[in-house]
Amino acid sequence: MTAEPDCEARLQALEAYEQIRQLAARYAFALDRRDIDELAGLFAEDVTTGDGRVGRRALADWFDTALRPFTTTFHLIGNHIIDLTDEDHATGIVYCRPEHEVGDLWIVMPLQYWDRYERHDGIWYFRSRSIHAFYAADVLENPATLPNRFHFPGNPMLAKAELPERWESWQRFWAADPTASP
Amino acid sequence: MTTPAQRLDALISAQQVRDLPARYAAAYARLDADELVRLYAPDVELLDGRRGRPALREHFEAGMRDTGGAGLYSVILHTGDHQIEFTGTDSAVGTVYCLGEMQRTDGSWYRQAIIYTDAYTRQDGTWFFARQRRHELVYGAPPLTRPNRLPPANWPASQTGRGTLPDRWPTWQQFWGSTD
Repeated sequence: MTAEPDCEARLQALEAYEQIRQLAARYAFALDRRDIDELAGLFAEDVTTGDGRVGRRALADWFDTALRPFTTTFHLIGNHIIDLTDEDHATGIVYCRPEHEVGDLWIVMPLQYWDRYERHDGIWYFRSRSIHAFYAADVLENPATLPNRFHFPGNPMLAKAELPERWESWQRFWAADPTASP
Repeated sequence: MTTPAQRLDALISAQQVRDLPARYAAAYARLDADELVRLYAPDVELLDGRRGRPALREHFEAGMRDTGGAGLYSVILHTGDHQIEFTGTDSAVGTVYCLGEMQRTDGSWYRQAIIYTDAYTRQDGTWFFARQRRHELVYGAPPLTRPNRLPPANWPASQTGRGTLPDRWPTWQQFWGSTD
């Protein structure tokens, strides 16, 4: 049953926030459990993989390869921002502080996910997720002294830390005073 | 058919359930065992089979006074990843991630990567934890220590060491092709 039109739209917006928040939590939990079918099922049916294939089966295959260069993982998330674009589309940012066991290293890689979400038949899915790291460092390392703040041997998804340099506002801030660092 | 009133009720329920782990963390930091047990249903079931808030309060008080030979001084429980699944209008289950940092009265310090498995119940309009939270470690480690080669924690016997996760998860075993 639907509410009067005005109320119905607001109810659906609240339900969208709720479902999308759950998506981010489910992704982390499924990843840490290596439940790749559940992971792939969180994405829209016609999802595109990192290597250009289409569909959940292809995405599950992609995850199956991508999640093997490390063993134990722990993806703690927070700071979920959700912007509803229209009734079936939304974008979002999620912070994550994942820990990875990589051989004898224990690597922490604080990052942002940049997300797009879509609703199909009343259910919200990821359309896409991209990963943007602040750094990757073993728990005994100082991130500031690592080359490019990035030490994550064999990571198939990411080879560098992009943040904060990627932000245009950040560049503008430091460009405004040429005498300042960096 | 779900009515607008029922949909609103579900949204409010999700928010109230989401608050429970945060309230748990805040009460734990204050070492307020009375506040902690008020987050649980009056007929809460403990993992050892006992029931009720007084038994649970005893459990919390004992842990605060003596965790591995020293009392708890500072308890920082940073929670996230709250996954909630409603099994009825008045019941739900969930999982919660937690990165905890603990300082003990003997000066020792450790961090823990924890995943809680919860059950929730609504009684007289208020959401509670339905049973004692199931607490599982990924690991516990002293500061400046890699967890990789730590021996099993066998929590609660030890606060540091490798935990039961991720090995306990069937999907984990399946992914790595374990035969056992």
